[in-house]
Amino acid sequence: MSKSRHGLNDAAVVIIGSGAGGATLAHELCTQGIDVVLLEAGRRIEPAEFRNDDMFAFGQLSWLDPRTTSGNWDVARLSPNMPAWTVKAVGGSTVHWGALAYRMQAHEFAPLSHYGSIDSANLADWPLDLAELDPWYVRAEDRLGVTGTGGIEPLPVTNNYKVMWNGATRVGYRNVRNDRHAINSQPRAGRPACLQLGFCTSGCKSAAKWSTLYTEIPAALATDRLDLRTGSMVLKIEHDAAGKVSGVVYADSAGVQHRQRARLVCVAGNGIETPRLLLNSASAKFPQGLGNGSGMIGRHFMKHVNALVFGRFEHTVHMERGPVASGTVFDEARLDTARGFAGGYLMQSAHVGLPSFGIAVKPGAWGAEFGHWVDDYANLASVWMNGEDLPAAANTVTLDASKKDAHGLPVAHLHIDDHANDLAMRGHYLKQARSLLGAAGARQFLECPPFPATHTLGTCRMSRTPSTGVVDAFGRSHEIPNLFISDGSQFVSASAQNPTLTIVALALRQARHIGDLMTRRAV
Amino acid sequence: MAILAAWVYSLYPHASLSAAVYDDVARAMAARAAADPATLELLNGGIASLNAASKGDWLSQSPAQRTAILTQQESTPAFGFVRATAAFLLYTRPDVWKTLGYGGDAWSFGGYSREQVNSIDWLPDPKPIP
Repeated sequence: MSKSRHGLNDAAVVIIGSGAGGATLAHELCTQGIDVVLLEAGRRIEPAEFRNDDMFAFGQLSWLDPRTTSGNWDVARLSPNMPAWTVKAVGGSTVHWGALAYRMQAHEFAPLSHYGSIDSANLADWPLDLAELDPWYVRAEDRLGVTGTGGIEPLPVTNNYKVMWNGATRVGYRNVRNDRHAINSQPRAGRPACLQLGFCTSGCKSAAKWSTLYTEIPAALATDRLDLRTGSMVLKIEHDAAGKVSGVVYADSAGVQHRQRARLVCVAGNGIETPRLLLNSASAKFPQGLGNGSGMIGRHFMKHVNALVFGRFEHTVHMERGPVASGTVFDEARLDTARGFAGGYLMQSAHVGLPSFGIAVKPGAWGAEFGHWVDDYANLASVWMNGEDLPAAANTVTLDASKKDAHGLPVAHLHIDDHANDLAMRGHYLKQARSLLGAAGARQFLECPPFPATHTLGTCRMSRTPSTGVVDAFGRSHEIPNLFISDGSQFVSASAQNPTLTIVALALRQARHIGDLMTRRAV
Repeated sequence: MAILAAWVYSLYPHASLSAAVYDDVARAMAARAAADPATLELLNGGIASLNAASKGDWLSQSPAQRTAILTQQESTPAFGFVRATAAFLLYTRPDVWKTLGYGGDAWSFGGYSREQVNSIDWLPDPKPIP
């Protein structure tokens, strides 16, 4: 347990969550000379403790505290006890992520303007655009060491990417690349080059992959302004009579509760735990949840449309060698409603290990035919889909009063119904993936059902007006001037891109804004 | 034990894996079940159901018949336990990984070399990113 730098009565900035948003924000604020208390529910697991072992890593890293789910999405049927796969550790889901770092496209900041109104979806435009975020993307790319930017060379071509590239170019795709990785291709920023272990999602043992665990956190600690408290689960955010946040109550790893005073609070627990905490912080003054006058907290949950297709080849592939997510086809990320859906998707060469293949990706599978697929593991290549799902007001994170956690608080309940647009998009992807893999030589295909959500977005969306969202263009609560949201909950749309680079860019920008506000004593 | 090993084989048949592997998985599964009375009862009940559906001796059935009987039982909790446990125990074994051609723990050998990472010789290399 790290020694406390700041006392419980010191009104520091309190940040909740040490993932892409929270830890980046902490680093930036500390660098500006601001005292930060960072409360992380998980413990600090160092790379030496990671193992190149799918199942071990799952048990070690996953947020296993209960969540419940409902709705017609496949996951409610296939994984009712674990609807989301996020990390409980210092670093948050940056420990697990595949390190694909993309900028959102210009039109994806304004889906209402570009797609028009869509039934059963509550599309809205972001209160900022790509031009506004551009300089922050540049900084984020430099911070993460994104290959293909700033002169950083791409990683080596992998077998899985080679299959996808050949299939893709044969079916006519033009924009196929193996860059945009937040993984060192050469030693950089004091961390080594990628060792091609193929276990990015089990925690990077070489630290070549950017994760706040061994980048932002140590950098923030080095300023002597960060007090990192692990094993610290925030239970409630408290406010004063004037409606300003005054502090947080958290339970330490022994279950003992503490109250930490706060000058301001930044919530970065991910798109599930952030709204859950705000809802669990309801009070007489905020009966719908802290800062939830609009009723939007927990709504518009987005996770991306995903799917995984394997192709079986007559020759060996050895897809497990090299980074889990080794390359991208960008062509389908365009806006083109002639395909039968709004928004777009990325196709990514993404492998799974044999344990995950045999145990997890085809739930319930057994028998001779499935056994033959496992026999041919070394001859498999796979393509993963990451598509823009639409924000629906009825897709929500709420409190499940019938199920309490170890601290007696209602757990998070995810209610998700697939939108027709999501299904049309997935159907298109499945056809294209088979075409692509077939063009590379595959003769048989295995389609896997959707996975539990790892990208958790939209549940405290930005808006220009308080009635249509939760926070402003800097993630500041419309109702509570010293409450900020610093994770993917802020997203107004999912875009086709994996979210981490945007979360980091927003955190860098939010840190500047918070620093300005504090300097001006405006907060 | 023989019936449990055969059950695991019917679930996940791999000609390349030895009988000893399936025996070992069955032993490990039985040990897990023995640690919890409810699970042990479930497992024994599942085995009894297989035999009952076979007029006494599931092991004496042909592979196709065994599979057919398993298919009839696949919604039962006992089947669910055996299937999930079998997959887990079988596909987390390093000896199974080796036989089936999966690289496994790459850290143990320092990661893959360039030649290994790009070992496919039946497709051309991607053109460089423009």
